[in-house]
Amino acid sequence: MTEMTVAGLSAVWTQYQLTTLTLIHLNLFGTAMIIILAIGLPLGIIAAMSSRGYLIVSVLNIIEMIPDIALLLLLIPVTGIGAAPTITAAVLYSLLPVVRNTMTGLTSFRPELIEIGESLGMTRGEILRIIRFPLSLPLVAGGIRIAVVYSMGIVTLGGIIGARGLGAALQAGITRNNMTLILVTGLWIGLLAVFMDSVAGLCERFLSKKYGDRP
Amino acid sequence: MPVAIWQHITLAYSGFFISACLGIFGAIIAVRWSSLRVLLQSGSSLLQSIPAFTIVALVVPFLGIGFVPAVVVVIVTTILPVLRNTTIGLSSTDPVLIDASTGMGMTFCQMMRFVRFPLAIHPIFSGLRLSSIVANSVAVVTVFIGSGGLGAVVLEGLVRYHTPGILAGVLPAIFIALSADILLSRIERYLKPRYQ
Amino acid sequence: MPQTLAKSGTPWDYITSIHLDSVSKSYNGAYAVRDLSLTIKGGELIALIGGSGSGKTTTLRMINRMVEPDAGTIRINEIPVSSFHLRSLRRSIGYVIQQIGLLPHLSVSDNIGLPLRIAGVHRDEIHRRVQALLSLVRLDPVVFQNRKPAELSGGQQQRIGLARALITEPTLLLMDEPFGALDPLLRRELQHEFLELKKDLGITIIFVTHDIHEAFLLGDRIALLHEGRLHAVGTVSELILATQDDPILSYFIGDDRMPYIGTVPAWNISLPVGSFQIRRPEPGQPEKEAESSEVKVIIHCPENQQMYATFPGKTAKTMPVLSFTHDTSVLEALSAFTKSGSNVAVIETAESPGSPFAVILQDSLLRYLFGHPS
Repeated sequence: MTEMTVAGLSAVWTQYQLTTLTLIHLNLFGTAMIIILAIGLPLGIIAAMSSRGYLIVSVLNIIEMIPDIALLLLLIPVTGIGAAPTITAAVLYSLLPVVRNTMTGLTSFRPELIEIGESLGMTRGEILRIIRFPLSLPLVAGGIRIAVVYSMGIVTLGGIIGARGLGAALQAGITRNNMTLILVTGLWIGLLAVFMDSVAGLCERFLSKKYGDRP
Repeated sequence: MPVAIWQHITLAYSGFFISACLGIFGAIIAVRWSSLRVLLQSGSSLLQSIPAFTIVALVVPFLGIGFVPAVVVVIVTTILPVLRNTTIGLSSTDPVLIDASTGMGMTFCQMMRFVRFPLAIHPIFSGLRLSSIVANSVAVVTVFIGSGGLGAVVLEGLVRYHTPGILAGVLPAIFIALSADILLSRIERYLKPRYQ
Repeated sequence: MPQTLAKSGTPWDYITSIHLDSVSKSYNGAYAVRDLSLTIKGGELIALIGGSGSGKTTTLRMINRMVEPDAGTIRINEIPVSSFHLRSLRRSIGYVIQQIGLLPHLSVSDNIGLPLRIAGVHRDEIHRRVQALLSLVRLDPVVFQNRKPAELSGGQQQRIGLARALITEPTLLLMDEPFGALDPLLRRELQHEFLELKKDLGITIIFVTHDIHEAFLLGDRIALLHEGRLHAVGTVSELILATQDDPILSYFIGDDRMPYIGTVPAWNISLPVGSFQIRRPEPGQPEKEAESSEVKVIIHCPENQQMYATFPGKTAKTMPVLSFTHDTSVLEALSAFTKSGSNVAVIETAESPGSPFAVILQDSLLRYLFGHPS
């Protein structure tokens, strides 16, 4: 192993342009998350309100059974290499937790709460907005948290197939046998991942306390 | 090609079996000593958010490259779902049943055998099925640390940007993952106790 | 009363006494049980009654050490329960809870046989005993042995729970509101069946309930717990008598179906000169005289033809209740009191003159005990 001095570490950092790579990485991650939320949440709501909701979930379940690297690679013939398959794979893979949790969150709680709403003369839309939505937030947050973890993983993998980002630095470290690079990048990704997950976890816990219906 | 498939299965599933055993055993211990359980819960939560590829890379400075380090990576990445799901399954048995069984004078092992374990089959297998899929994914990615297998086939295809080559590696991996999943769900159905 | 000898492996052969000495238990700074001392006699059924939070369930659970007391000791046959091997203790005590706790994935016979299976008893022996116990709780073995708990009604499940508790032939049975989750008719049915069973079993039973009538029906003695303390303990009649001066007790036991307690002042009967035989009226039938061995009430009818009663140690309270002739039976006299004028059942058997006198008027439950001479 090369010397683990501060100087050594910062040398590795600049040599392999880790700052740039970090930004690319976060960019990919953020883009994926936005698309996931934009598609997943409405899809979850539709699945909850329609009777065919389980079909959507079943289809997504099948996607889950494919190992994530395999999904990523399968997309290459379709979208080429680089950012496109990475973001697509991240979105596809993370849709299930978001859709499933949103659907469950909107539909599974004490039926008497809905009855009260109906007896007050609320429309379906009002029930959705005033009763179902707030009570579903903890579960939805849980689903988003899982999506965060999945997406971080896939974006990291994307480095192998040309999406750049920190995964590429990891790969470089392995192929060039540069332990310092591996350790620096690896720990850095780990920190980022744990940080993202913790933030999502805090939101989940906060929403659970505020809106969770605990008997 | 057959060699690659065999290497893949060996790598993924030897790791899987070891982590399944360790995970279930660890969960039983976690139920026995609840102080350990809190530690495990927070620790595993942390580790689970780290991308698998990072773990693949991080093992190199410590264990080098080759088949054995690859298996270690498979174990580390697959043990967490099993451990978490099994612990949750074993510890969320209906408290009324625990009360009645304790009053009968059951030991911890008897409680596990007659009450907790049979009623936790579904969560345990959920964890196992998830782990099995992760094992396949990691087994492909570990090509970078010299494990051969289907990852090598894929890599060759990638490097030359030759789509059929990529697919030749990916499709068998998917097939293996799906077959294992179906097998596990069959085993679950067989083991699952009947309530009617 | 007959005691069954326990199987080898239990810490005692039969129970002579259970002592709770100044037992206390608190949770989060609040007392669940506070300085409770109680002696339970071998072979009796003692009912622990009280409101929610009175500590009766906690007390029960301290006996088989499901809960450990913070202070005080519990002794069975003079030996502290803490000195017995924990699982050996629990295997010698039958434990029945309100929610029953049948394992949903095991059949009825597997559930009943489970305590024996844990103890390593041979499979054939287990099978034999399970069949016997199913019959004991009035369930046809052929029909029920292979069913799963989910297929059973609440009453059937509770019978299975009892069978499971009895299969190890315990000499002590702990029951925590076993009939509480059942509907009133079913509860009545099971209470009466259990009463019969209790006589056949002849073991020590500690029975927690919030239902006063259930306690009176089943209990040889009753202990009232209030806010974690033992408020009163005694036989049915002793407690009824004590309600006169005890507001908490009368709150618990007093009932508008028992008009003479709490609302109607006690009579003043000076006793005894002759004896009446209780006549049991049956609707539409000529009056039959009760068996002379059954109940004897010794009452004196003074010249002014009024009925009085005195209770030991209490100042005489007089109340010209009603007038009757020598021919009027006590029963008729009393039934004039009840608004419903309902059927009467004689339950207690004869005891010697001088024992306390109490009358409870309820729809179908009326106990006559003995008059006390003034």
